[in-house]
Amino acid sequence: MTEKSEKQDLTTRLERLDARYVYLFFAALLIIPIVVPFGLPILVTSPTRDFYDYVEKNVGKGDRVLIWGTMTTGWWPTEYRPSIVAVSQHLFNRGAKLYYISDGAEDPLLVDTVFGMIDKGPAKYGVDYVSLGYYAGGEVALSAFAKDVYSLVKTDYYGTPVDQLPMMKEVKTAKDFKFVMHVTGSPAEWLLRQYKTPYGIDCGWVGSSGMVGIYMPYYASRQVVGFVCGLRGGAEYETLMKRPGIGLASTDAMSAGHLYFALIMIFANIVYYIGRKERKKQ
Amino acid sequence: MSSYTLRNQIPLAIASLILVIVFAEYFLAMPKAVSDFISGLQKWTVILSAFAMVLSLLSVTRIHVPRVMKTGANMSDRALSAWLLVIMVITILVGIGFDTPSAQYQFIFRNLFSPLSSGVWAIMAFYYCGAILRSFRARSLEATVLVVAGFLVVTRNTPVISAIIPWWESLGTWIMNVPGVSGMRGLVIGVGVGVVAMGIRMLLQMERRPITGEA
Amino acid sequence: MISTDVAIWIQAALILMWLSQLYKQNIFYRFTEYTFIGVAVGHSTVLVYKNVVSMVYTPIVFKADFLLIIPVILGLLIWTRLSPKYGWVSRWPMAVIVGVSAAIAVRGAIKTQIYDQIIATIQLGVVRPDILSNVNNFLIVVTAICTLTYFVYFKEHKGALGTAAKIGRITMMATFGNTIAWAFAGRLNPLIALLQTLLLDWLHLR
Repeated sequence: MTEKSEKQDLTTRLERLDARYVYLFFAALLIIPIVVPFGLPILVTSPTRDFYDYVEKNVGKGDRVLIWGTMTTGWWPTEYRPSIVAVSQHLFNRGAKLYYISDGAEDPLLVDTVFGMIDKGPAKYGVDYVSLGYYAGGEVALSAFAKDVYSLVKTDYYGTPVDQLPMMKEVKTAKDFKFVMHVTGSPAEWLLRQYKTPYGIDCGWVGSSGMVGIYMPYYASRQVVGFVCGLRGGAEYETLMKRPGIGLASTDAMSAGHLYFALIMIFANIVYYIGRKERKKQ
Repeated sequence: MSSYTLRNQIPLAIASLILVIVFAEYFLAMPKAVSDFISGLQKWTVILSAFAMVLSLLSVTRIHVPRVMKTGANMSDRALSAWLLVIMVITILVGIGFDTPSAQYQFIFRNLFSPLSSGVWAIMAFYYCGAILRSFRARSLEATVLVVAGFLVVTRNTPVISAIIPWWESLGTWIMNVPGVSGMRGLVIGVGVGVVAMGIRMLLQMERRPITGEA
Repeated sequence: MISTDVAIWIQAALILMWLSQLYKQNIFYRFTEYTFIGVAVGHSTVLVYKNVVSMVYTPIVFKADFLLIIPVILGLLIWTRLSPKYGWVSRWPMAVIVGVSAAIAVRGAIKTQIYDQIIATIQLGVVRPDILSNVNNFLIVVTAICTLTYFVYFKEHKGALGTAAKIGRITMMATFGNTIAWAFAGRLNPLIALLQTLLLDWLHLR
């Protein structure tokens, strides 16, 4: 075999590398920082900082905040949980009244987890925070709730009639809320179309990482106060809160994963160009 | 009344009429009776959406019950279908019997559903790496821009690189804030125009597919 | 020391069976797939049951709101969708859902997605003291317009329109590169969660 054809064989073999080797190295690279974390700091980006600053400066004691969930359980542990726990804690610290509701079937059980993970201080269920359960219909449910809360909500998630919950007496329509947050990995526009545009209420997102690109034009045009996205967003919010949690504990693994992805991109293109040069010479 | 009228024209007319009323209520001052009617209609839509969710249960039952009953079929297929039906019924009975906040239901949700739901997305991380290796090549100008932009944003999201080269993160941030915003803005406006166009088409009953399934 | 919690062992077993598909399709992976579908369908049915009880059953039985019988009948008619012979009956309730959904989407889209975005782009034309901001804003305005010209289909992309469409296409490639990077993050993070369950909660390696 000549040296030229040996080189071509190598590049062809690398181009056609069995994906299982890629998966194996990927998993191995992720395992190390999970078991032996480095504790690298992260820089806080402006969407998260603006969201934090808004809550810090504009949400105070007694302000009503609606948290609408369209979550997926699959993204819960590291995409939503760090962010929503940190944001909920911040809102509780500010003395806000929190109304949790969702159009995702899995959300009410996830919200239960949030209640168990935060320091609620003197806040009481039904007076300072409430979980209103799940309502099918997506954007229609958001719209129906905004127009007339009681047309949709008859009981909370645990079956208590809403007229027995003191904080429910304070809300009739979307106008009674100071701030609305949508926790979602799905359509970004629902929140703005049903709360910001018709009622002029300040809005923000807590989303999955994949939504960042979609949120950016709305954030740039100041239609939202900011957004906290994914594991990175949760870690950034924990940094601002000075309250390390799941987000900051996982950033090293996130770093390793992204580094591997970047290296694969470089590797794929180097192998492709070497192979292309060889094929041109042929 | 002809079959065509019942099957096509009336549903399209219902959708068109509802669209006009709900749309107009947003922009025009309407009597309270109309506003209350629309609130009621929205509530009905939520109820109908809930009934539509049950289609998944009916569909799964329709597929897997015959598979279990079919003699002579592959044993592993029959066993897996039987298991699916069993775990589905157990989940429903525990959920309705004990209610969803109960420890029993939480056990099913946290230990069976949650890890597998994460698994659905997690497995894609591996497939992304495999796909990038095969197809993410700078073959043309557009592909080069795609690769370079993706590379800069991925490395921006890598705190270890920012710790070593502090200014590197600003490159990826520039991609997010300038071409990321402008390109997505163009797409958002385009989608918005498309949504309005679709609404007009539905109003004029030119868009039949969502209701009748026909082109 | 490995975990002794049954729940963690169940989670670990399911995760390992699920990940086994990376090597080869096998019966263990299929078992987890069927488990997931079964629990997911069961869970959504339970939540729908709770919805129907609170929004329909309780108002009809205890508050005599008999008007709600109409959406119940329409809701049951949706189920005819599964019948090849009577599937057309489901078009009536679907018409209600589609009509309301389309109306609330369209009425919000006009301002949210079109007007506000155009105004925000125009406002970027205002000259600022910072040169870098001006350059970036100019680029955003030009490339956003070029992206929109790419979707002009009634005229051939030649001359100035062709150049603008090409710039728009290149801008969209940068946007998609950005999207791919964040989409990967959205898949990497659940994987980190799974590995944390295996390594920390199950094997107690830290």
